[in-house]
Amino acid sequence: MNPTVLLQLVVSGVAVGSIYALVALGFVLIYKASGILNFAHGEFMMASAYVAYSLMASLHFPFWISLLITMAVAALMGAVVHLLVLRHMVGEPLFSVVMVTIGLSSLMRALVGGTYGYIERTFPPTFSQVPRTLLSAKLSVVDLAVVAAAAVLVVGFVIFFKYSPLGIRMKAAADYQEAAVISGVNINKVLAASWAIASLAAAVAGVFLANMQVFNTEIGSIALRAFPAAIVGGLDSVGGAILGGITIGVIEVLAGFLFGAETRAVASFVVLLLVLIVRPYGLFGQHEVERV
Amino acid sequence: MATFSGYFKTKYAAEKVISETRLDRFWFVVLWALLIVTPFAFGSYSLFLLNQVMINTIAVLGLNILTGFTGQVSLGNAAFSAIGAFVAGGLAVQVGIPFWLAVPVAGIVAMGVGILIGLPSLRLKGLYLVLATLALHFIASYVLLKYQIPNFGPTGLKVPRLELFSIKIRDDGAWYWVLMPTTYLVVWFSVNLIRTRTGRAYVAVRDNDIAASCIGVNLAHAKLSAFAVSSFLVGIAGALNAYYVGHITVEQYPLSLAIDYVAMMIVGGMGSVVGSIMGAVFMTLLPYIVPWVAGLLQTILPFLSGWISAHLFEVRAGLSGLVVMLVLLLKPEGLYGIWNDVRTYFREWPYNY
Repeated sequence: MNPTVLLQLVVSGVAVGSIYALVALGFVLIYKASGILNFAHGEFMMASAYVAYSLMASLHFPFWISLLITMAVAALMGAVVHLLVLRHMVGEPLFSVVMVTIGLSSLMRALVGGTYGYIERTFPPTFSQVPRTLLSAKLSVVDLAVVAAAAVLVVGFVIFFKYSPLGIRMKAAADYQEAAVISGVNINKVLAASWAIASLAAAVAGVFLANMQVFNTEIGSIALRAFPAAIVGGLDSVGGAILGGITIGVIEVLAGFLFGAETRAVASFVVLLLVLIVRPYGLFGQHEVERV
Repeated sequence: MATFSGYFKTKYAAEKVISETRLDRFWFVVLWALLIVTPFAFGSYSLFLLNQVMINTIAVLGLNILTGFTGQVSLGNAAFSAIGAFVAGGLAVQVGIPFWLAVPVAGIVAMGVGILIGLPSLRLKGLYLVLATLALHFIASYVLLKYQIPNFGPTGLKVPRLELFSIKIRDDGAWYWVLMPTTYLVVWFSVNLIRTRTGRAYVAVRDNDIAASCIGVNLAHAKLSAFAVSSFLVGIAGALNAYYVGHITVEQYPLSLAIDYVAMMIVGGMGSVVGSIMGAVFMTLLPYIVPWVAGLLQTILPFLSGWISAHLFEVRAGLSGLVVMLVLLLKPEGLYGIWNDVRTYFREWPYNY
């Protein structure tokens, strides 16, 4: 494999990985706040893609405006889902909560499918089709935009969690829930906020993913493939999610190149299984200590 | 567990019997009478539904042993089912092994894979185990596809028609006599398993595995044997399904099938054999009930009926998700819990407080 090809593969791996990183970030935010894994995350991506698509195709909004509106809608959707459904599942067995999100995902797929149908759609063209060249590797503009958007969002999150009062409360609640409640943190509000922020990240991932390819109601299945990213990094580590996402993206693209395109999806799950066997709590995750 | 108020056990032997009262034994006889009369009383369509229910019941009971009894969550059931189907189908087509041998062998192969995936469960818990079994699902689908495509092509393999004791099993009525005794055997096994030392160890592991190991439960043995039994049963269900449908491809075993099995177990009531059967019956029949309900609504609410008929696919898919959510939100004990409540209400009436 010559260096140019390798560079090309790594670069497209990073672009795919940025999507995974955004999805994994959503998983981690909800996991840290409430200790559950949101299996409907992909459906939030899918629904967001359709919202943005409607804004652009029917109302002829420009892309960036549509993206911002979609992010707001998704955040609202996340908070509503928490308040209507997940709020009532606090204290239930873990698997029950996971199954609720799985039930939610099939409900959302049915609702969107019933509204929009199942045909494959393409976004109105936004990004230039002419690739840019960087160190002899070709980069498509939409890939660059994804990486940039992911970077902006991550920096935004870091600032939010470091300086905003709500972000600090969320960190406190994730750290030690009981102590945070005693100190006056409204845990319900914090959980709703983490659902909102996770859905917002899902919206960005969904809209960009739908711009990279044709999409239908199954586009959310990509979220399942982001589980390895979240695990590799450690389910409770935000930095790990970003790194895990990019690692998994690069591994997938390399595996696809070396062993054929159909190995792409399965490669990341092999990595997932290996990581779970060798280091069950991820590369950056914390080992849980349990008391009886 | 006294069935009637005022019924108390006075001997240790009374704790061990499975049917506690004469009324229980009476219902048991009624059940057998019904099981024998059923194929003659119902038409082929009802029997077709019933056969599907029974195959799903076997799988859900298998899953219930792992998740309901032992508390080890798994999304790998579709993979075990697919492994069972492909081993049985492959053996039947390529080696020519008869049905009565192919199905147990399929179960044993699924069991081997189950033990293998059970190994990480010794270290993993909760969500991490869910994700490990999820990884198993995708890896198994990939491997089976690699086996299917070169050997049988994208259309999959045709499983030969079932022939038992030189009787050709063709219609649903004949299949009933294959599936009913098998299902009965699995139910009998599940009910009794939970009453053994191993079964009680499972429940202890579910309730708290660290505490269980402190009182002398061998965790590795309990978890691995639960994985083994569960994947054996799910594998058998897959193998039976392969023969029943007569045609298998990897696409017949998507992740949503694994989710359906979990949904059946949850809707019925996790950790209960009767609940698993109820869940399998309810969730299998749910998609078939939808058009029937739409037909009923035709005169009362023509608009709603028309809308359901136009969106049948979405209504079915959305409804199963909705049912799971509602059960978990409103009645986590599932249908079995509702049934118990109703029974308690009538038993204690009019002093139900």
